[in-house]
Amino acid sequence: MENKTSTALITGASSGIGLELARCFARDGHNLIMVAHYRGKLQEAAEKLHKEFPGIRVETIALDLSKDHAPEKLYKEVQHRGLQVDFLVNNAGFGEYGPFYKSDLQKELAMIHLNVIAHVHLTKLYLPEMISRNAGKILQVGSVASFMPAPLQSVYGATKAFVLSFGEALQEELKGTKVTVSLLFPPATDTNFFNVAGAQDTVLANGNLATAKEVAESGYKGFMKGQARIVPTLKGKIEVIQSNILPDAALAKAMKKQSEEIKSKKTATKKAATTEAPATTSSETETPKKRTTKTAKAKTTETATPVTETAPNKKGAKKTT
Amino acid sequence: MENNSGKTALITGASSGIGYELTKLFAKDGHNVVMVAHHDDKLQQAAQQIKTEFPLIRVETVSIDLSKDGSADRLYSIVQDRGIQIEYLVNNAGFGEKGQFLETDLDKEIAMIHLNTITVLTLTKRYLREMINRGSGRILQVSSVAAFLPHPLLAVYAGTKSFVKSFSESLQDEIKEHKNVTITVLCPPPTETNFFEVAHMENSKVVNSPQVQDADEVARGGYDGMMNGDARVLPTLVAKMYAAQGITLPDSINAAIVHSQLEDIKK
Ligand SMILES: NC(=O)c1ccc[n+]([C@@H]2O[C@H](COP(=O)([O-])OP(=O)(O)OC[C@H]3O[C@@H](n4cnc5c(N)ncnc54)[C@H](OP(=O)(O)O)[C@@H]3O)[C@@H](O)[C@H]2O)c1
Ligand SMILES: NC(=O)c1ccc[n+]([C@@H]2O[C@H](COP(=O)([O-])OP(=O)(O)OC[C@H]3O[C@@H](n4cnc5c(N)ncnc54)[C@H](OP(=O)(O)O)[C@@H]3O)[C@@H](O)[C@H]2O)c1
Repeated sequence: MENKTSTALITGASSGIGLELARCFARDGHNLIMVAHYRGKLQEAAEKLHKEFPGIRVETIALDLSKDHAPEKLYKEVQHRGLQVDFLVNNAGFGEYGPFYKSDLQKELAMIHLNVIAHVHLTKLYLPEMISRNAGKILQVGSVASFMPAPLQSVYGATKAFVLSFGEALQEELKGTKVTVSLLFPPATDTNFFNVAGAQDTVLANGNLATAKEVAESGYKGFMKGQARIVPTLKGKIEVIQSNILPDAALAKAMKKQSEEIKSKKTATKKAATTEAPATTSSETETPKKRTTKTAKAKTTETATPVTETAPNKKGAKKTT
Repeated sequence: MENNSGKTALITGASSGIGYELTKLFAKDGHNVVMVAHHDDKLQQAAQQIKTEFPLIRVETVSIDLSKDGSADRLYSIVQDRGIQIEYLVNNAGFGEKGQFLETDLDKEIAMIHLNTITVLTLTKRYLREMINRGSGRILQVSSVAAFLPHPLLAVYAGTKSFVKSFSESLQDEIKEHKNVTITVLCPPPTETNFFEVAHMENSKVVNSPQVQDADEVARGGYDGMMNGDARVLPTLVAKMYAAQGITLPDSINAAIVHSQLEDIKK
């Protein structure tokens, strides 16, 4: 049944791994709900896919998922359009590079809001529907950094460690149902990620990168099979195996080497190459730095409400016992 | 009795359980304490006990709900306004919530993420910067053995504790050159505190098993490890066994084992 016109909701579908995942779904004839923050870039990506695959329905919803209540808004909008989500792909995410005692707190808080809170929230919203239909699949995008400390990307690595732990707990809880949760752990991949994280000049960004296409292809295949853990590319697999063998301190040291800046001419060339590749629309011309500050600022003004709501809940619960 | 060391420890979640026991250890060594918790009555009562038992040290209290946006920064400025320099930061306040993720309360889980991750991150950001500029200071991050194994029925909680462990281990590497600034990760096993009641897990098998350890013993391990600048503390044999299990068995098997331990005992 799932092979017939199902609908996939993909967050972060406007570029990188998310866009390539959207292409995989489209190729197999599934309808798409593409979600991202910047409308122009998203629209352009959607039009491209629609041209490539004219037979499918492509919806777009542009919103900043790092804001409080954004997942709910997204959910309501999807409902409003009368769509059923058969496949949920929690892919939107970003990182931030630099020593923690110097890095930007607001950006890091926005990152937690997106990579952790929106991730949990969307799962919370779509899981019950899937369970009551006893059908559906969820893909959670972690990272090889889920498995090891990530110095110079300490908060990012932590959000991805959350995704791993949370996802594996869910897999166990959902045993006995037909709903599957798959976890995708990309290795370093050539996308906009490093620009957004301000990590263009790191050893990692200038090393051997996987392509978004190969990561998405292997993610999609595993996802459709309901595979628990998907680690694309040999390099990724080796990194995960290492994480099981080496102590965390040794892993941290190795990761830090990767996150250090390279000081060669190669930097300049690579930088040019990465900014060029996906930059096609007007919204893309904004520098990543600018973009994320915007996200963070907007976030701080809006976040106050839901937490206030939660407090009585928790404390109320405590008092009754 | 020791003299006052002139140094101050800030302990979040100091009004009960592991945080209270840690507070006692600081006080006993002559350190001043800033005790932080949500409920003021309970906090004042705990502070009173510390004052009576250790009259030579200075005891400050701040009652604040650290699961709210901006609360960590508010705490930071309150402490600053009182002119207190923090030599030891203990990020201990935290709570869990047991249940199938399908059924658990989202708002409560978001508050948990705020307290267990965002507040830890923010306080670490503020005080680590000071410690590095000053060239001294120690941070104790309270994670859990749940950071080593997936925890069905505590999916979000274990996620937050994995966050704390990963985050802190990254920082340990980042600040290596700063010899007199240290970060220690404490991973308690199931411990006899208010935690089980708050998390609604009083009926879980594990809570009714001999695996449950005493808060004073767990705190002692954490305190000594912190003062020693150790990277990781697994207090008690039970904690060490959890970690060993987490490292050696595949996650899917660990998840199944933990799942059965967290289920309710049959009446
Ligand atoms: N690239 C890697 O090396 C790598 C490795 C491991 C894991 N990952 C993970 O893979 C996932 C996809 O990243 P990518 O590498 O494909 O990076 P990317 O090219 O930067 O794509 C990120 C996508 O997420 C969207 N997004 C970012 N912030 C958002 C927000 N606040 N609200 C809504 N959408 C937002 C972006 O849309 P806008 O441009 O509109 O913001 C974009 O569509 C992330 O979770 C990342 O952590 C990447
Ligand atoms: N007990 C265990 O089995 C176990 C195992 C592993 C890790 N841990 C971790 O150990 C730490 C301490 O927990 P515990 O076992 O000692 O539990 P506890 O007895 O329930 O103590 C929790 C402390 O945190 C404070 N707190 C809770 N919510 C707060 C909020 N929103 N704002 C400010 N303070 C808040 C509590 O104060 P109020 O009462 O005023 O809210 C209390 O002082 C937690 O991080 C927990 O996750 C516990």
